[in-house]
Amino acid sequence: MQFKVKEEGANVHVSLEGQLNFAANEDFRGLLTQLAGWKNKKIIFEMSGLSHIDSVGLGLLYIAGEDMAEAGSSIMLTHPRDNVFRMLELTEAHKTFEIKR
Amino acid sequence: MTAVASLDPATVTMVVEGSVSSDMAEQCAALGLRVATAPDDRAEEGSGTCLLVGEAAADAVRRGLTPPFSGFIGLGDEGLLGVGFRCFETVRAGGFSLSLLTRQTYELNTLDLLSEAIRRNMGLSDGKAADLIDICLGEAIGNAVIHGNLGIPAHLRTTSKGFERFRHVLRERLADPVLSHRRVEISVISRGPDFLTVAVSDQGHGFDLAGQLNRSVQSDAKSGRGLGLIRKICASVLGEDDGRTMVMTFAR
Repeated sequence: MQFKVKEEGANVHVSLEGQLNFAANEDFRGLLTQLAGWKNKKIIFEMSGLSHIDSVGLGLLYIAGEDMAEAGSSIMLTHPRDNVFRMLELTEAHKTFEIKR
Repeated sequence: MTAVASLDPATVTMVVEGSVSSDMAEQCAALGLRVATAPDDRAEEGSGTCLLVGEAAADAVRRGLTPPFSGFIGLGDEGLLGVGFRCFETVRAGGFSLSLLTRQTYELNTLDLLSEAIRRNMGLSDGKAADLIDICLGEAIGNAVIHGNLGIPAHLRTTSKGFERFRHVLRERLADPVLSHRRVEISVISRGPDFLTVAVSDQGHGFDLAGQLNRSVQSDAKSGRGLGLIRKICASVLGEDDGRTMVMTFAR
């Protein structure tokens, strides 16, 4: 997985690319480290570049969500591809995250 | 090696990239497999199937998963040692198989390579059915690597502190010569015109798959969802070999 982070006012845009899966651990840690610097932001994960997400990757998003909430920030997931959206639906991710198609 | 004009259809030829060591020749002979060093050496069409054997780079795996090959076997330090019979049985029966070491499975985009092959070799078009197979296959491969072969429990990864510990253990175990040389094997075969079976095997300690499949999962759980998803999606799911093999059948 690769990612790019860009701050725009009250929002932080995170573009994800590749696979957010069981093998994305080191990259995701890099992302968590970068995000740790922000407080009271809306973190928008741009998912259109993500080809696959598995339950491990989803678990990483939940961990990020908890860390961000402690810093007064919230997470939104945007533009998932159909297959990634199916995974979000199947796991009822909308109960935890705001999701925008 | 000379081409053989006609072979028993059940013959599997191992097309080895590079040179064939005497060890490998012996391993193949013991398994009743033919050995060749180039695809041209394989038998004429309609007489047997071929598996590509070599270093597991993405291009080579993709080639092995594309006809005329019926699969790819990643070589380890000990050649074909540990390759499961299911791989050979599947290709003999008209399916395709992939056998990789744990480290190779982790480092390659294994799911992408398989997903591409399932669509092409099984004539599956893009859409919901193919996406759902990918979701289950991704979960099963992740489980086989992390929990099966590397023996890492899922509960570690539930907080950012736990995630740090998980990463540390993962790095350690991927560097362990025994654990990282265990194989992950995926076999795919059609079950009539309407179904497709995908078996994913690891070589870990096994577990109570049936018991785990019956557990319910919270929507905000950070671990333990994979099997719940598989159960929800598959037409049927069975465990074999004390939970080391999961056999998932999908409607196409």
